[in-house]
Amino acid sequence: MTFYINEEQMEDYLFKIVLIGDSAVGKSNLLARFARDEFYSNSKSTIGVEFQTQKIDIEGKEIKAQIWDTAGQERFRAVTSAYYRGAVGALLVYDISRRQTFDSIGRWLNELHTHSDMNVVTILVGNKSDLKDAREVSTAEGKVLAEAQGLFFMETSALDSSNVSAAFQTVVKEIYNILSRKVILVQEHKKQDTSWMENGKTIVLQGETNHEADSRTWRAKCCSS
Amino acid sequence: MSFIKPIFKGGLRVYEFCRNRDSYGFAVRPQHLQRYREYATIYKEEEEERSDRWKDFLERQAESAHVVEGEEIPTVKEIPQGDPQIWAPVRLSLGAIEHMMSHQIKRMKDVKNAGIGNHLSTVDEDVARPSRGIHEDDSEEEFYDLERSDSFQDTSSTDSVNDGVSRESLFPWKEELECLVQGGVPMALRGELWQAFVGVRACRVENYYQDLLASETNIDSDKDLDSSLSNNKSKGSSTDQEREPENWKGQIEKVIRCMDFVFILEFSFVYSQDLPRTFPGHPALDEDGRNALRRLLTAYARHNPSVGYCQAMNFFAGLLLLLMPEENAFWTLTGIIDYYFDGYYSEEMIESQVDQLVFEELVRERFPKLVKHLDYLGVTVAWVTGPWFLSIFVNMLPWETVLRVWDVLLFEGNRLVLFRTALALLELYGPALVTTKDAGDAITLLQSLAGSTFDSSQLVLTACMGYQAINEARLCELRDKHRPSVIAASDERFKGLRVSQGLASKLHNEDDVLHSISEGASVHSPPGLTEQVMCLRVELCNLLEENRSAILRADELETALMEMVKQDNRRQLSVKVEVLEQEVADLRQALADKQEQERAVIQVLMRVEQEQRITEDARRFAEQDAASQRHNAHVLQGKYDDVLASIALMEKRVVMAESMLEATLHYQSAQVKAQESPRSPRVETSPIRVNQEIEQDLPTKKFSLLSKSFGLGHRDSLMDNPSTVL
Repeated sequence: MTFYINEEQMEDYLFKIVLIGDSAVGKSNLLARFARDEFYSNSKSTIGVEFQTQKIDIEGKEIKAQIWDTAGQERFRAVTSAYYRGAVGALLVYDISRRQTFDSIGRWLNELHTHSDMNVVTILVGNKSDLKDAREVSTAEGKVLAEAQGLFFMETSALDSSNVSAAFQTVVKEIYNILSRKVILVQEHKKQDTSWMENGKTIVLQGETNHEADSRTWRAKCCSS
Repeated sequence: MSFIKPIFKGGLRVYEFCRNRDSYGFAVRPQHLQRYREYATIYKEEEEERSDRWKDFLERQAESAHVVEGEEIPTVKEIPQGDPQIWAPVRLSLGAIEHMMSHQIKRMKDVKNAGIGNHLSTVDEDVARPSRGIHEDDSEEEFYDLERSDSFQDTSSTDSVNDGVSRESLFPWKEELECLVQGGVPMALRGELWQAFVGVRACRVENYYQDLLASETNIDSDKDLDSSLSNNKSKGSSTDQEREPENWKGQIEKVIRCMDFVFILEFSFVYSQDLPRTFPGHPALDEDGRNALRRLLTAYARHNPSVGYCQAMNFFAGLLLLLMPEENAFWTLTGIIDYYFDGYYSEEMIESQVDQLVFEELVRERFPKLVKHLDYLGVTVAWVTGPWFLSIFVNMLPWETVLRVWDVLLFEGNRLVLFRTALALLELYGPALVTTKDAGDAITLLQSLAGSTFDSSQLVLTACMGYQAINEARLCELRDKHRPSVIAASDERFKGLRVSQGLASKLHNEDDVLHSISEGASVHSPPGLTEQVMCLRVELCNLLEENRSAILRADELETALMEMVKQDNRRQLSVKVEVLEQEVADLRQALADKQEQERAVIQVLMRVEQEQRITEDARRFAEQDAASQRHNAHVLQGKYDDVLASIALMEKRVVMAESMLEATLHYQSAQVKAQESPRSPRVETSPIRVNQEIEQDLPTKKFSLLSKSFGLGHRDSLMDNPSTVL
C-alpha cells in the first residue's frame, strides 16, 4: 500500500480514495453530500473523472482524503482504470433499487483489483436507502456479499444524507488504523533490535541516569511487595 | 411525434436572461454568476456585430450563387417532406455553404470507405437504396442520394483528388467563411449552419430515422435484424404458417443479440438513467424534450450499434435538440459521432485514448516547464483533458465558449480544434498551475479556471491563431505513433476481462437457451419447415460445439492466468522481501549508529548536569556571601557613623580641654608672676591644683583612646568571623 505522507508534518496524511460503481448509482451525489453537503436530484452524468479533497478528523489527527469520482459507464473503464493507481481506499457503490447495479459489483471488484493494490480498503455501499418502496436488494444480501468478499458494508442515502459521512469515515479510519498499526510494528521492531544489539549497556545507562536514592527505594518496593 | 421547438425561431432567442441561467437557458454555476453577468453584455455586442457580418456575407453569396451555381441552387426548395415537425431543411440562403461542406463530407466518407471495409457506411448504403426506391418522386432527396451513391461508386481516390483541387477554385470565399466561423456563428443561424457544416442534407436518408424508431415499439427486436431475418427465412411461407416461425425467430434474435449485441441492452439501461441528467432543469427539456432525447439516442444506438450509447452523447443530443428539429439533430449527431469522432465513443474508446497520448506529447513539447511541475506533483494532464475531449468541452467551459469551439470544430470537420483549444487553455492557466503544491490543488484549479473561461473570443482566437503549427497532418502522424500501444493495452485488457470474468458462465446460459430453442422448434414446427429446422439444428449443434470448446479454452486460459498471476506474485514478493530485508539491515545499522550517538550525548549531558549542579551550588554560596557582606557593610556603616559622632564629641572636648589648659597655663603663669612678687602660701597649693586638673583631664583622653581601639577591635572581629554575626 502506498501512503502519501507529507514530509514537513508527519501528522499530515493524504489518502487517495476512489468512488466506483455502475452508472447513476449516486457516486457523484455521495461525494457532493460528503464534501459540500449538497444534493442534486438530477446531477449531470460524470464524464471521465471528477475530484474533491476533503479533510477528515480521525483521533485528533487531520487527514486529507483525495476522493476521485469516476464515470460509471462500462466503456469508460478503459479510461478510468488509470485513476485507480495509488488508491488506498474505495467506495464500491450500488443502487438498492436496481438489482443490476448490485450484480455488477463482482466485476467492479475485479476491475479494482486488477488496477490497484490488492489491499485497498473497500466498503460496499448500498445507496438510495431512502427508496424503501423500490428496494430490490435487501440489506442482508448486501451484508452477505460484503462478508464473503471481506468488505465493509453500509447502506447510505445521499438524499437524506444518512450514513454518508460514516461510510467515508469508515474507510479513512480503517486506512488510518492500518497505517498506525504499521507504524507501531515498525517501532516494536526497532525496540527488539535495540535489546538485541545493545544488551546490558542500556541498563548501565539507566543506572547512571537514575539517582541512587531512587533506585534504592525502587528496590525496597520490590522486596516489600 | 412531439419535439423540442428550436430556439432560433424568427431569429429571436426564446430564453432571455433569467436568474441563474444564461441566454441559452443553461444553468450558470453560482460562483460564476457575477462574471457571467459581466460578460453577458459583451456577448450581446459580439452577437450583434457578427449577425451583421454574416448577413452581409450571405447576401453577397446569394448574389454570386445566382450567377455561378444557378442551376444547382433552385433544386433546394422549401419542400415539406416527411413529418414537417421533426425535419426542416436548411434555409435557402445557406445552400452554398451547405454545398461546399457536402463536398468536404463526401471526401471524408471516401477516405473512410477507402480504409478497411467500414460497417457503418455499408449499413447506410443498404438502407439508402430501398429508401431511394420508395421516394423516387422526391426530387430533392433523389438529387442528394444520387450524388452520394455516385461518390460510393466512383473510385474514391480520383474523386477525392478532384475534390481537393476543385474546392479551392469553386469556393473562393472559403477563407472568408473560415474567419467568420472563428469569430462565431450568430445564434439565429447556428442550428442551420451546424447542419450545413456537418453535411446533414448529404447524409440524410429519407425515413431512415423513422424506421429506426419504428422498432422502438417492439422492445426486444432490432430493426436491422428483424428485416434481414424475415427476408431470408420467411420467404415463401404462407400467412398461416407465419406465427410459428415468428416464435422461434424471436428467440433466435434474442440469442444472436445476446452474443453480438450485449451492449445494446446495456445502453438502453444506461441512457434511460441519463435522460434526466442531461442539462437538468433546462426549460426546454421538459417531458416532450426528454422523449425527443430518448428517441434520438435510441435511433443513434440502432443506427450504429458498435458505438451504441456512450455517456456524453446525451449532452450532444440535448444541445443539438435545442438548436434544431429532432431529425436534423439526429443527422447532425450521426455526422459528428460517425465521422468527426470515429472510434472515440466505441466500446474500447481507442481513439480517445490515442488522442490523450498525442495531446500529452504536444503539451510536453509546448510547455516543458508546466509539464515538469505536473510530473513533480504526479499529475497526468489527461486526467483533466480526457473529460474535456470526451465531452467536447460541454459542461467544462462556459456555454458561450463551448458553442464557439463547436462552431470551429464542426466547420473544420476534424478534432484539431480540440487540441488547439486545450493547448490555449493550458497556455492561459499554466502560470497559475505552476504555483500549486499538490496534485489535488492542481487538478481542481485547472478545472475551475477552465470553467470560468468566459472570454470566448480570446480563447477561440488564441486556439486558432496561436497553434497553427499543430495541424491535422501532424496529429495523424502522432496518432499513428501512439495507436499501437493503446490497441495492445486494450487487447490485453479485453483478454484479461474475458478470462477472469468467466465468459464460460455466459456461454453456458446461451447454451441452455439454444437447447430449449431447438427442442421447442422440433415440437412446434409444422412439416413444411422441417427442412429449415434441420438446417438450423445443424447450425445450432455447430454453435454448441463451438461454445463448448470456447468454454474449455476459457477454463484453460483462466487456470493459466491464475498460474501466471501466482508466479508473478511470488516473484514480485521475493523481490519485495529482498528489498525490505535490505532496508531492515540499513535501518538496523542506522539505529545502532543512533544509539551510539545517543549514549555519547547522554554522557555528555550528565557531565554537563554535574557541572551545572556544582555551578549552582557555587552560585548559591556566592549569593549568601554577598548577602552577608551587604549586611555587614550596613552594620559597619552604622558603627562608622557612631564613631564619627564620638570623634566629633572628643574633638569638642579636646578643644575645651585645650582652652582650659591654656586658661590654666595662663592662670599659672599669672600665679607664678604673682608668687614671684608677693610670695604667698597660695603659690604652694596652686601647682597641685593644676596637676589635679591635668590629672582630671587625662582619664577622659585615655578613655577615648580606649574606646577607639575597642571599636577597631570589634570591627576586626566582625571581619574575621562573619558566621557568628549571621
